[in-house]
Amino acid sequence: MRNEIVVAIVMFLISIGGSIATRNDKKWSVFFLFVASVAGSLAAGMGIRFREIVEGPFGFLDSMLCVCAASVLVSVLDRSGAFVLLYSRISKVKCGILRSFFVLFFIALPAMLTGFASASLLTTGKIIRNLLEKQGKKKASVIVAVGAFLGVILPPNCIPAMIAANGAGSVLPTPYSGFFLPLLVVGLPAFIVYGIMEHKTLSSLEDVEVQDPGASSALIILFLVLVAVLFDEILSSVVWLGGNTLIFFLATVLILFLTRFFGSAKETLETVSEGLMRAAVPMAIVFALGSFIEVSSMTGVRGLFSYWILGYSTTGVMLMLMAASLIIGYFLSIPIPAFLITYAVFPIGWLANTVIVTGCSVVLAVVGLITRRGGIIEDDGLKRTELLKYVSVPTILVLVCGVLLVLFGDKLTFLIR
Amino acid sequence: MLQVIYYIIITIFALLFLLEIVKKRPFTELVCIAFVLVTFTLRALHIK
Repeated sequence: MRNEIVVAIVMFLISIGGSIATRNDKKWSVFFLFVASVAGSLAAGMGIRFREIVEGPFGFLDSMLCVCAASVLVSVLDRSGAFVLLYSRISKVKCGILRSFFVLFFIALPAMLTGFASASLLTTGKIIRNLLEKQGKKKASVIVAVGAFLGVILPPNCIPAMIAANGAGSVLPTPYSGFFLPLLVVGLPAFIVYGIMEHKTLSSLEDVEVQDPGASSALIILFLVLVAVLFDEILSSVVWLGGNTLIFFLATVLILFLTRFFGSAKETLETVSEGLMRAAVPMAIVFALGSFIEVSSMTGVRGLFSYWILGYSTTGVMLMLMAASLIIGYFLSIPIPAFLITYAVFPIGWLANTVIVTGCSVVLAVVGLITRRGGIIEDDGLKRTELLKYVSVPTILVLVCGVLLVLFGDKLTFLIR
Repeated sequence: MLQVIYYIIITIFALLFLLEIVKKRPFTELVCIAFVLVTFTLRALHIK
């Protein structure tokens, strides 16, 4: 048997064994991905290659810095009362369908900014979930989870797309840039359809009491952030505002100075720490995955994969790996599918067409929603079949859009800004 | 600017890490924080 295959088997076995033993616990994924990277390096007879193990995560560093800055901003917005105030304004909208869209956007917003679902689940999702549970809605957790899932897919930040972007290219990963419109194209149809499907539930939610009227300045800053992000993503060739990391960082500093945080060092540190802690697990998973990918490249696994797929069409390989990721992800959650998706986009090459990369990456977001354990929905008390039925429409829509982007990505390059 | 952001993050993470150790956080969370901390630190050290 070829040495590369032995290395791949060792790495996969450790990662899969870890997922099974810990019932897909996200926090343990980091440990097992790291151990698998070290074991792969040892199995290849290269010793513990510190350089590659560290170099892998470096490819994700810039995009993770943006995630980190966004997570702190979301935490500051949450504690300043801006989200409660925003919901209070939304609940005054009279038109039912419009209100439904606004509520869904409200749930999705933190995940849109950060790129990971728990940012929504722990902030805006919590507000909506409490209101839904007060009304006795059985599927409160599902509605919030779908909102968070849509937030992960919608721009500006999307961790699955960041992971996929890293896979494209050989020496240098494709930068996380030019994903705004492709992500919007993938996420918007599901957002609209789900907003219409659930409009009766979402538009009937009652108002909440605004605790901190001073949150209005934080809310204004949030709107300015959204405008700045839109400018930066769509018109960056005309006006460059310094990138999302800088926008989020400055907005956080402004909110800390303009709201009740000013003068309270303890509360400020607690809030910033909370934001960082929320981002720590998703970031660590991505970094550990970076090590895993880098070691697989170093030991020749990627090379062998390239050799194997030479005779097949790139699109065919991508669709096959997308399907495999979906099936494996249902049982084993994110780590292995994330690795497969980076390999799926690898043949496109450096500075890959971000439309195609986006199409491939949506599978990871879907896996996060439908996986049996370790996904967005946990301990909901719903049967798995019931749950899959509830989330079927948005997930199928997202997957169809993803496949269409993969198939027709070459003709949709006008979406790259 | 980028370096300032990196160092702020590293400092806060380092403080958090020490605090979390004192609080006896689960091993897995410490691994996550350590992984992020080490990556950011090594990257910051490479900035010229």
